[in-house]
Amino acid sequence: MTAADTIASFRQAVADRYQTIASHRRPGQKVLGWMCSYFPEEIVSAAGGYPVRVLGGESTSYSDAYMHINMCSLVRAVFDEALQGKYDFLDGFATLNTCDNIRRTFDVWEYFIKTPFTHILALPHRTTPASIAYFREELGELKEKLGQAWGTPISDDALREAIAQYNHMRRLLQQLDTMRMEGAISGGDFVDVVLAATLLPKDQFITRLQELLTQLEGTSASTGDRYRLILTGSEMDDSNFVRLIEEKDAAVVGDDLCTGSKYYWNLTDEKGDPLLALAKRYLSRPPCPRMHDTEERISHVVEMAKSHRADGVVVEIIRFCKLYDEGNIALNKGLEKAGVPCLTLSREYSLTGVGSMRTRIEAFIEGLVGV
Amino acid sequence: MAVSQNAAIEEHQAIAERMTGTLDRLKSRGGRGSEVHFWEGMRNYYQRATDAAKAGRSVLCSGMFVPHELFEAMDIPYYIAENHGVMTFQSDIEGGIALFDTAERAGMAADICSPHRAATGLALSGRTLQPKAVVHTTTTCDQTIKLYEVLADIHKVPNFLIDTPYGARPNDMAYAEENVKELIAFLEQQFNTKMDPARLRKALEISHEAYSYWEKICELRQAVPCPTGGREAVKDTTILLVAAGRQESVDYFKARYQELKDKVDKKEGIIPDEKYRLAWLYVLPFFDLKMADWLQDTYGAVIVLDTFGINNPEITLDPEDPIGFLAKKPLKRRFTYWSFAPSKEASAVDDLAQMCRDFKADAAVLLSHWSCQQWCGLTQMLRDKITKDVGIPFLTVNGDLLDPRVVSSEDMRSNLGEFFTSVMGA
Ligand code: SF4
Ligand code: SF4
Repeated sequence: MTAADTIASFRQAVADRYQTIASHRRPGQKVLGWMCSYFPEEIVSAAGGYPVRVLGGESTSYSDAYMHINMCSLVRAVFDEALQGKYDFLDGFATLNTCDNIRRTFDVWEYFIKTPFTHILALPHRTTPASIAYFREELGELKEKLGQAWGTPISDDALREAIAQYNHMRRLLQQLDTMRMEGAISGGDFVDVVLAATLLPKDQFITRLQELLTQLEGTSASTGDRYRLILTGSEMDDSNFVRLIEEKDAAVVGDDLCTGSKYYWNLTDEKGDPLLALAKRYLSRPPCPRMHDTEERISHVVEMAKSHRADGVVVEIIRFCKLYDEGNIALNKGLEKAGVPCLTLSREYSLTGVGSMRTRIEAFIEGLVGV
Repeated sequence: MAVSQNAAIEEHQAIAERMTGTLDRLKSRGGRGSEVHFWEGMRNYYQRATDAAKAGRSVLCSGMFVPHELFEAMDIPYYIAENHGVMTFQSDIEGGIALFDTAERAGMAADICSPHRAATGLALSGRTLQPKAVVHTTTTCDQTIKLYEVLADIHKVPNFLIDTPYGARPNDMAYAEENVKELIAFLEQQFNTKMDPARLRKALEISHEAYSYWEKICELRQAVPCPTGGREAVKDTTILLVAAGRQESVDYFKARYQELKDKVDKKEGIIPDEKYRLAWLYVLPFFDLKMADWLQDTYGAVIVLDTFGINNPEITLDPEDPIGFLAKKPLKRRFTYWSFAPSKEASAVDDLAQMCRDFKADAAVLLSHWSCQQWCGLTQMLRDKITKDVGIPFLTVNGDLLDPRVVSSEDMRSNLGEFFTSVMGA
């Protein structure tokens, strides 16, 4: 197999995700669907379950009757899939009170879909000793409830084992991230790989990722004279969107996305109380604008732009994603202050308006010529 | 002092003077006791912040559902940016729309909650007092959190977020209390002052008394006929914000309670012939509060329940436990509680449905405020629950709290009118 074949297999796993999950689920294994990358999948794995990221489809025609049109199209697209029965196979659905849209999605899901196990975690907005202690209790509650519901009490050892496995996976993804920075893998392909991590069983994903890393090793890579860009913004699970950006003279060499680097940026301490270690890991990963520390997010993106020798930053915001919208005012100022050119693209969850988007990207890239 | 600060002070002084004028007119006409106390509370609130700014003292910019009693106890004059935005808009709708444009030019999306765009427009135009710091809470929504971060950025001052958690269980509240302790330390540092426990205790006792009256008033709204309407209830919630921990709030509620109690005892409603009892499951459009009067006059429909103006009995405030009191305060209203924390340990729709029963509502209306994902997100569940379990009609009215360009007052009224004639048989 070549690297291209392996990447294609990840892309396929994402495209046929329901089939992927059905074929990889062990007999009798419980599957839990989760939303939002603050969700601690490790707890589900420690319970012997199969955690999968819940994604949306192309349409929102069913969910529009249940969710107001002013909700972001990501949650409407996700709920549409649920209404169509595509998530009926789930044994559990869980998320956090990340944003108003996800919260209300949990409410309608619980009310109309009736997945056997549902849970919503309270995620603090600040990272302080008190908030970490509080979130640890939240994780403890999930661990207890899930253990009870599935009849598999979750031991600390099982949690530690899961943490070690996820750390391993995250280290490998960090290696791949470095390769993307060097141009060995495109930004579009990279999205498919990270998404596959959230849909395949972790052991199988790790094996395939190791193969990919070996295949990519030693390839003479460079982004050449293409403009190097960082991508940040709302949930982004469409590699074609990234390909659109990369279509002409550009390479997405880094990202600050919850479907990208936020998923693997930091590791969990493998020693001591596993729940406390998880609470710390999730609360100290690069923040999304939902978290209160605006400065930290801005400096993270600015720092990334510098370390990745980026020529510019593209911010994509799903319409009605108020957090990213309002957070963008400060981010734009921060980038401007740091002298990093920035383009903001408003979009819908599924890729529409490609023509005008392409024009704006091209204009941005042309503008970089003189920078 | 910067020119813009002078302009802001002048504008605030003019508002306080207008309120004094209203007060004088009311007094000379022998207006109701509660109304007089309301305007006293409002005027004093504006005057305090204005006087402080004039004297070069530091003022605080605060969120709506923050425990303002603490500021009272620490002698920190404050203003609530969202309220100021709403009030400015109400007094000048054309000018208010220009504020939206100012906010949008600075990068704020047109979909952002209109009171927030108004508050941002005011801050950007130098029409709000320059604060020393900003304090806000996670209640009620994402947009509220971000608004105050934006305002802190505009004013270039630090901000403190009270991270009110998603629930009111003991561990949630323990975390909220930690936040309150940090807030006190933050304020002590920013305002170079010390929190006086005796003064706090006094403010909380006053606040507790005001809340006790408010709770009784909420119960009186269950009476048939209902002694008060939706427009009047807006004053209850406003005074709780602007005179928290101050005697004006007790004076207002005491008088109002007596006025309503007398009516209930005499079986008098706010209108002579109450035909329909409406559960208004949101806030009245601020740009047209008279819509409540119009419903009364045209259809005999009285808003007996609105989520903004109803207390949350789940949350008890105890002055004996000052930190606990301050920590729980952001969840004391039904509106904040259900905007913010529905599914963790209870259900918003179950509670709202039960309220419809308790208040003997004949119909429920949800104003679908264009920017509000919290409440719009409940629409389908509420419709399902209320029509099936409570068995009363449910109407969604599209609109906006402040921006008449989203749906005009005429269109909202015609939507309501059609509902009354075709569904309620008016
Ligand atoms: S895209 Fe924005 S609004 Fe939508 S679920 Fe994500 S954070 Fe929430
Ligand atoms: S009306 Fe809705 S969007 Fe606006 S501040 Fe309140 S909860 Fe937030």
